[in-house]
Amino acid sequence: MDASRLIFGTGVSSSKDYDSLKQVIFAAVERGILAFDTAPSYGTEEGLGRIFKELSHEMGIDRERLFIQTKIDAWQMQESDGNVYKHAESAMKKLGVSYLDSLLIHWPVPEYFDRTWECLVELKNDGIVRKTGICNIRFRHLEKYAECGGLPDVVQIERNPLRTCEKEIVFCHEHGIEVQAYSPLCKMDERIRDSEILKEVSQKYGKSLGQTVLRWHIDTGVTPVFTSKKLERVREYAGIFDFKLSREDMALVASLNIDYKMYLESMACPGL
Amino acid sequence: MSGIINKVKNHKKAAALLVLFLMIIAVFVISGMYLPAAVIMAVSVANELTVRKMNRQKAPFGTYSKIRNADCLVIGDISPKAAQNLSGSDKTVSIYLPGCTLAGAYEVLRHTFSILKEDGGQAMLVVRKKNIDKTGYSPFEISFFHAVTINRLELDNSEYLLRLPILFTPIKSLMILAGTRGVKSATGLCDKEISAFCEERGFTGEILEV
Ligand SMILES: NC(=O)c1ccc[n+]([C@@H]2O[C@H](COP(=O)([O-])OP(=O)(O)OC[C@H]3O[C@@H](n4cnc5c(N)ncnc54)[C@H](OP(=O)(O)O)[C@@H]3O)[C@@H](O)[C@H]2O)c1
Repeated sequence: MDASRLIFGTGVSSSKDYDSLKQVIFAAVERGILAFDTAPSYGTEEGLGRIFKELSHEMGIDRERLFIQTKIDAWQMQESDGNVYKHAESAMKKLGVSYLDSLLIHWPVPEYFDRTWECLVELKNDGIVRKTGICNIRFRHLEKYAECGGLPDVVQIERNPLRTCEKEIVFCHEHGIEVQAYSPLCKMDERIRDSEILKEVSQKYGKSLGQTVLRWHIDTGVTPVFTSKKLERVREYAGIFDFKLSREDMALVASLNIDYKMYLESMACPGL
Repeated sequence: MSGIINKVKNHKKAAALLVLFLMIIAVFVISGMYLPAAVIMAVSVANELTVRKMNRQKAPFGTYSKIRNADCLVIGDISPKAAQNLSGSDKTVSIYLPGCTLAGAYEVLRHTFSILKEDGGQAMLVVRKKNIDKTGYSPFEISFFHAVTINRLELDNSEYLLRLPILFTPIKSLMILAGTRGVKSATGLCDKEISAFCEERGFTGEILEV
């Protein structure tokens, strides 16, 4: 097991200017993190495209070794009435790639969802996209998709010790769906940072609190999509593959669950 | 060069807005309408704060909202105090929409229901009898809407208009308070549609006519 099981996110809390983003991404790659998450709304697709080229020139990391994931934003679903082919193409152009490892629907806006999903499936059939997925869904959505025979390869949801998403994860694992946790540290909310339980578990393994939480995701079969502007922190978080939490300690971490949701889905995706 | 031009343009825009603001204030003071104006302003600001509290992304430097998993969400023509009494729960979130139609309250519900606990929450839509069958959305409601909704409903997407309706749509705002209003078309709704929406999402929905 290695750092290729971590995804580095380039969303709201990540570096936005090219030079800082390049520095953290190079630091991540040096520590074995080769998977990256972006979206048109993050404004990082173009920068990432340049950085990937430089990774190839300066570090000899070619495209096939990278996992590149982007998303279709709500406005793109609406603007194209779900025919998002051109938006996928434009993302690939910005990222400088000829295929995407994974393309996700960022917010499944009900009015435009069906056609967008059909389009993603077409993109996969055409070999342009390797995996298709949906973000920000709950158990009831998964049940509905299963009934219609349209389950995604990947699901990306907000998940951390304050929101453990048991039902969604059990469902996904039973159906062979990869689960990615965004905001895996809940942006280090004080209820995580100051948790005595987490402090105790971390001390037991001689790891930092953030490392322990990221390891808990891995040990529960979930891929964390984390971010940081700090080189040191990226390096620290890449170092979570030399230990494993016991069942009891996993349960202790999960005992923090209060179904707290940072991003209110209905505000970002009305009628979801 | 284009940066300087943009700066000059921005200054001109800010000066024009300031003059407009002062003129509107003067009209309200001279016509004696400052009380309703103040009420509308207060409601707008309260709603804006609620939106910010509910949507962290809009206030990344503000205090992160801890209001989650509410028992009850009361939306509509009812003051926060009365909403609290109506729900009987301390974990109540209320959104005051003076003069709202059922369509307006429902659209706000579609945008805010995630504040409710995942199972067993309750939503109440409070609408005045005379407005129940009317259609349309006021700036009070639109300030909660996502850009996708604003486009879908073909509403006016002016940032200023949405944030401070009394300054930028004073007549319409006063008409709302007075009970008559300019309307924009909205599709007809039935109680069944609303209750199906709520049920599918694991909470109960109630429409109260007042
Ligand atoms: N699909 C979606 O709708 C969606 C939504 C949100 C996010 N995402 C994806 O998920 C990625 C991660 O999301 P996120 O940023 O919310 O998650 P996160 O990794 O939980 O939080 C990152 C933030 O936490 C801070 N942090 C981390 N460790 C810390 C520590 N030990 N002490 C203090 N602060 C610490 C970081 O600050 P420093 O920079 O100082 O380290 C950064 O601001 C995004 O980049 C994006 O790719 C997807």
